[in-house]
Amino acid sequence: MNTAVLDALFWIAVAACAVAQFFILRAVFAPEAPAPVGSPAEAGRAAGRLRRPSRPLEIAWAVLPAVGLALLFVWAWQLQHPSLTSPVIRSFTVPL
Amino acid sequence: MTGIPLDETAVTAPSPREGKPAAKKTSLGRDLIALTKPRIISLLLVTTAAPMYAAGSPSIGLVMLVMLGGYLMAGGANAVNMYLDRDIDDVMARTRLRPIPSGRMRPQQVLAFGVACAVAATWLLAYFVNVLTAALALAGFYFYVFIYTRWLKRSSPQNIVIGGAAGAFPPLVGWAAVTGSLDIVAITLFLIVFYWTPPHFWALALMKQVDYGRAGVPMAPLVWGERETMYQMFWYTIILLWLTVLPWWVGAFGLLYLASALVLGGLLLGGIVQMIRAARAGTPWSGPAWWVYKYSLLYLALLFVAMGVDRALAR
Repeated sequence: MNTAVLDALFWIAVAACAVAQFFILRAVFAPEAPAPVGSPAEAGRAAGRLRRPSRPLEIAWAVLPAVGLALLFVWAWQLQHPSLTSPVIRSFTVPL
Repeated sequence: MTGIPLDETAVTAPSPREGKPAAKKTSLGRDLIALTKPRIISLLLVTTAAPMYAAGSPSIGLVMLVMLGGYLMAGGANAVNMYLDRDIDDVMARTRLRPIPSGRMRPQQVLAFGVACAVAATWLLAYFVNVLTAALALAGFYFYVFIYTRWLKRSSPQNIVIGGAAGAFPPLVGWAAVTGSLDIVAITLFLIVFYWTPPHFWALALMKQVDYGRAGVPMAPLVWGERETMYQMFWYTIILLWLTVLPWWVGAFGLLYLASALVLGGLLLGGIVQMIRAARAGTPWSGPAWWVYKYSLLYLALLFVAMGVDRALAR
């Protein structure tokens, strides 16, 4: 397939994943919604069974996969464009 | 390699308190097999075996060895999980008939069995396959037991997201068994399973909220609400769809795989959209949610089979 088409597809994928990741992160940063009356969430909170998660940890857990995803895209791009790739990345494998 | 969050899928026998028949008397052998959650491990074995055929041309003997090691490691992790979760297994309707809460086995026996399985798997994989394969499988075991079960499961709605990493180890195990190394395709397969996990388990969590609330497990629907969880499933599936295209883009797989990934992924996304539409319209969404849960299992299996078939045909 044409390289330009492949590159365009790649950037569409990056854009789509960036949008999706934005909405994933937004949910973590948003204030916690009150549980509807009579819902299992309300019952669990009222009984003290559901602990409130740690905010900084929640953010860290949400950001971590986003960073991993970004690194994967960078790696993929550099592999397909070797002229722009450092020898370290080009030869990256975990040897036995 | 583990059965990570897949313990959530263990829709086991119905609860006696729900007016259904109580557990039958079972033999020790049957209980030991039940501890490994064999139904759940079958999907893990598919995500181990298919990457082996995608990575090269393994002998049947090697595939069988890796399957056995993988089964023992995942089964061991599942048994240790049942030991650690014995308090909440007794509270949740769908887990109440497991060997520990039903009183058929003592917790220490279950723990010893789980650890023995993991030790046997590590030796088997390290001795007969290679050290990297054994190390990856063991890493999955530790991730499942300590990061997911011990730490995140009861403390964070991100339990399934981060915990999903443990269930994503099998493709790495399969790949490493054949190549002795990891590359971008292996890492992409890892991330495919990682991003597949939240939509899959949140579909189940949406339907089992009462159970999770009773057990104090902060699954996403209980913390973020039903609607937000459904939107999150949508966004994770968007990323999943594009991730499944990436191995084709880097030249690892051909058009057969690409077509399979797009069709299978499109169906999954369609199911999630249908569920969201039902929720927004105020109509029952449990039907579509069940469909998403069941189909997502098939989705992952078929996606990985497509990888193996694509490579086998290309050789």
